[in-house]
Amino acid sequence: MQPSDDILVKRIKNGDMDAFELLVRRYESKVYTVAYRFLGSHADASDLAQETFLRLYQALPSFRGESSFLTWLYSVTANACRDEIRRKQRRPVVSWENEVLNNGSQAVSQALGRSRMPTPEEAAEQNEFNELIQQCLNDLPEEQRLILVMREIQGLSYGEIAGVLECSLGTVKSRLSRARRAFKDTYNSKREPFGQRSRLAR
Amino acid sequence: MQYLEIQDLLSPYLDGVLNSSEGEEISAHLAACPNCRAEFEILCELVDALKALPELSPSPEFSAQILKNVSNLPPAAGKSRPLGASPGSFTRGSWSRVVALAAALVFTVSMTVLMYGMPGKRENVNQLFQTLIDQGQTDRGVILSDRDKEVADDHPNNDSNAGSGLESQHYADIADITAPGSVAPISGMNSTLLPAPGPAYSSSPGGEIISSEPLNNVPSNQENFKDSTPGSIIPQVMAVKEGNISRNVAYGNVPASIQDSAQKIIHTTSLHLDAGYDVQSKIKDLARSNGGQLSGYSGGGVLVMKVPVGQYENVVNSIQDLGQMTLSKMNREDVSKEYTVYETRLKELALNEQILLVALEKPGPSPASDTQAQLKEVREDLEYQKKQLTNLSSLVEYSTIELRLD
Repeated sequence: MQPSDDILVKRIKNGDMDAFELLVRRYESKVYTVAYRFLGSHADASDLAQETFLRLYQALPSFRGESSFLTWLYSVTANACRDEIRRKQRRPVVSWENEVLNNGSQAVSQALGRSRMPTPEEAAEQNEFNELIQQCLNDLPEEQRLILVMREIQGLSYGEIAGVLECSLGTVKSRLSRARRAFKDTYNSKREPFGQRSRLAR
Repeated sequence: MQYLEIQDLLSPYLDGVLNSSEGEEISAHLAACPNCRAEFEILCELVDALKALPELSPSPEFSAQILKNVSNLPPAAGKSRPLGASPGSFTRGSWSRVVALAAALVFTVSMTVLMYGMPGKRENVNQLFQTLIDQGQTDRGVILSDRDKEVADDHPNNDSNAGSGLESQHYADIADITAPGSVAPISGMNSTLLPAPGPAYSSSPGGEIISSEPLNNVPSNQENFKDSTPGSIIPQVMAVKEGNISRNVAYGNVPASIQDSAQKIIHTTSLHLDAGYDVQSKIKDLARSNGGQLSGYSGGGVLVMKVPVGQYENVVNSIQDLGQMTLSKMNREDVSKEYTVYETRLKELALNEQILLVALEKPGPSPASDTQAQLKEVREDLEYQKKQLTNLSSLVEYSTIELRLD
């Protein structure tokens, strides 16, 4: 049986690097995915995920288990995202090819593999659709992107988001509502070329 | 419930976080209104599409790289050494920080020259910085540095929200480890000298704490908006080269919204008007004559107008004159914090731009190509932040009034 997060954290605090490696392997995909959804490029996401784990490691001595480890990890990740986006301006993203090259087959099988193997056409279509969704994210203002990533990708609760953003629940409610509408508007403006294939064509 | 209100509640309704009466009301409305239903469905589908985005894996070397970096750090259990000295934390971006630091030095020298003069070259330098000293506010910086401190001391009292999800201690910890080798931004004048668009700025609890200072001076807010024409805030902020930069130099990192005690509020109001006759054209004229416009007609006798915040009272009073008016809902969302973050960032960037321009003109220690690249980056960031602030301020500058007519 795999040791729990709490036990790993305890062991890491005692200087056990194997425990840290376990923890990294356990969460690297989650952290990496959040970073990618937030930044929209694999190279950047990799750097940011690296930095997140470094921060995590450095901050571990002060983690006293008041929240779950995952929540805490997500707040470190979200904060790293927030910091990163301000450090660099947004650039046009070249992620589609990247995604196909690096993660395409995996992405597709995860997205569609629930019932059966997709045909190559379906896979390509799904990939294209996911890329469109990612591009819509990329086009949103950072605050909106962050709150959408926290809510839809990280699955944080309103309370947890309020904690990370240091704002009230009511503010989370209205910001999320705004972000979702902005996302929808961006989607509507972008889907034209995809209109035929889009599953969301009205 | 009003149209705008419904639209606002679709998102929390989707997440099931409305109270039961609100939830039931939305359910009932959706059952009856095909427009809102379509809206809601597309919202659901897009949320699902986001949630269904696949989890991605980093490259196979990813964890090995982390372990390698971490092995250069002291043991987690041990006492952290100064973060600036952590070799492992030098990932991508460290060079831009070095360049930034160099720029900071250039700026320090420039400011010294500005304040004390440089024999022989004084005229030249003064010319460069003429705009900086126009307003002669440099000595106010000292006073405001003290204010900085007070605000920073208030920090624990402003943490009330932090407990709602994560322990406040974590923020501090996270912020502490945020920026290898960077300077905390709230330490008075010096913070202005930090040109790196680095982590320290954005993650610092300090930067946000300042903006979360309670500011209840709403009347003065209205004052501020009185002469503001639509969009005027941005040019003002962007006019740093013409003078605002001097404020920044003088004020350090104290956000303008504190200096002005101006809260940034997004106002939304729902009114009901029983006029007994057709007042639509009157309302339209009313909106126009007050610098606003009808931004939507959602059907069923509901007019939506946007009017400048300063004219809000005027407009409401005039509506009141048209018949029997009742106020059904008034919503204020305080976005001062978001606003300040953008505003401060803009000032910082504009200052960086100046610094880099100065650095370019002088033969300095950093190669010109580096500075050029920095400058390009700063300018792109500037544009982006400007766009953000424009979006936000257009929301702030105009009150939304939803008017139901019978």
